[in-house]
Amino acid sequence: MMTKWDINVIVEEYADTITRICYSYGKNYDDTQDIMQNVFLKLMRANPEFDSKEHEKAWIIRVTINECKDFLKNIFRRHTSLEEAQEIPIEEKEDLSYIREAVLKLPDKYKSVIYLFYYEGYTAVEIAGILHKKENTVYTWMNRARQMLKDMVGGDVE
Amino acid sequence: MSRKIRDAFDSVKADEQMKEKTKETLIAQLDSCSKRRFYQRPVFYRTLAGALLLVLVFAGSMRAYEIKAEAAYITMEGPVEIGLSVNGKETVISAEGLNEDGESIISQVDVTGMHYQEALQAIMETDSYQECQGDKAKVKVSCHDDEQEADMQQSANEACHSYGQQYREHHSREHDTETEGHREKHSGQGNGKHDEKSRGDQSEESQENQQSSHSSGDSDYENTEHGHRNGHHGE
Repeated sequence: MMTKWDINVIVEEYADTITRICYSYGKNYDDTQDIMQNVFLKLMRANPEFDSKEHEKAWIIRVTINECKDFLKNIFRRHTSLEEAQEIPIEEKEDLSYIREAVLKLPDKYKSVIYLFYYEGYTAVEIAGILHKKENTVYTWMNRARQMLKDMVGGDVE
Repeated sequence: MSRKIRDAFDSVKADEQMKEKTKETLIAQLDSCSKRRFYQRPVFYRTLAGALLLVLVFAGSMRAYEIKAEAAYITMEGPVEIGLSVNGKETVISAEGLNEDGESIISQVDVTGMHYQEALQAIMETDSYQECQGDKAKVKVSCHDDEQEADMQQSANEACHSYGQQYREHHSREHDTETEGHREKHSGQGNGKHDEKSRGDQSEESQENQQSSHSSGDSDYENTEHGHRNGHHGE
């Protein structure tokens, strides 16, 4: 059973990761908040035993990706229209919105791989474990995603 | 490019408002969980189901013990010796012959599952028992509970008494019928023989009378003897 202190710690630790994954799936502010609450509620109810911090993080990422996919199915439950939807606020020194937009344009399966590989720094084997896919599938998706990004933004995507 | 992708996503962060709202929702959920009454929790129902199961198992085993366990032992004494094991419900759970006659009767009548009074009656009603035992039946009850023993002994004594009475009534009636039948048979048979014999004697007498002029005192003796015999048959 979690305590209030545990909740504070875990929200501070994983809120940004969940928000980034939601963003990569094109979610707005309200959806991101709903997904974040669902992920943490699942963690509270399941209360799984993790071998390490890395294991815990992988569990959170996996559940967040599933929630993002499931949220599309429940899109009719939205209370706010797409026009009213508030975007996730982004503060940056250098304008890298074109990179984010390029990633957002990728198919869902490719954007997960790109995010996990480039931002979270997971290897192809680890990504295969998180997404429950074969290693070769992950390599194939990564090559295709790189090629698509290269076509969209130009330059070397290595 | 990899740095750019990392930087591009690094600037995407959850704002403090989102974090605080998430924390509030989770803490509220945590409080409502801890405030849930005990009987609303699955553990309550599991414990309740477990307790009920234990009670059922205990009651079942007690009932099985009551049915299977021997509470009293009834010994039918006398020429015929039979032992009956009786459970707490006063039902015969097993019967054994304690001597040869007893074994023979037990092989004829199955009293297992009967109430002990019915079992005693069933045994006493068998011809073998009545032939061997006569009008005196004796039954002894042994029981852990003195009060139950006294009750059962009284019932058994009543059964013995009733058996004795019935036996005597039955046999006196049988004896009367037999005597009457014997008398009828005897009288009917006697007349027939007497007539036949008297007819034979008369012919013999006439023959003897014809020879009487030549006979000595022996014939008188014979006549006297025949006359005595006839007189005896006439009685």
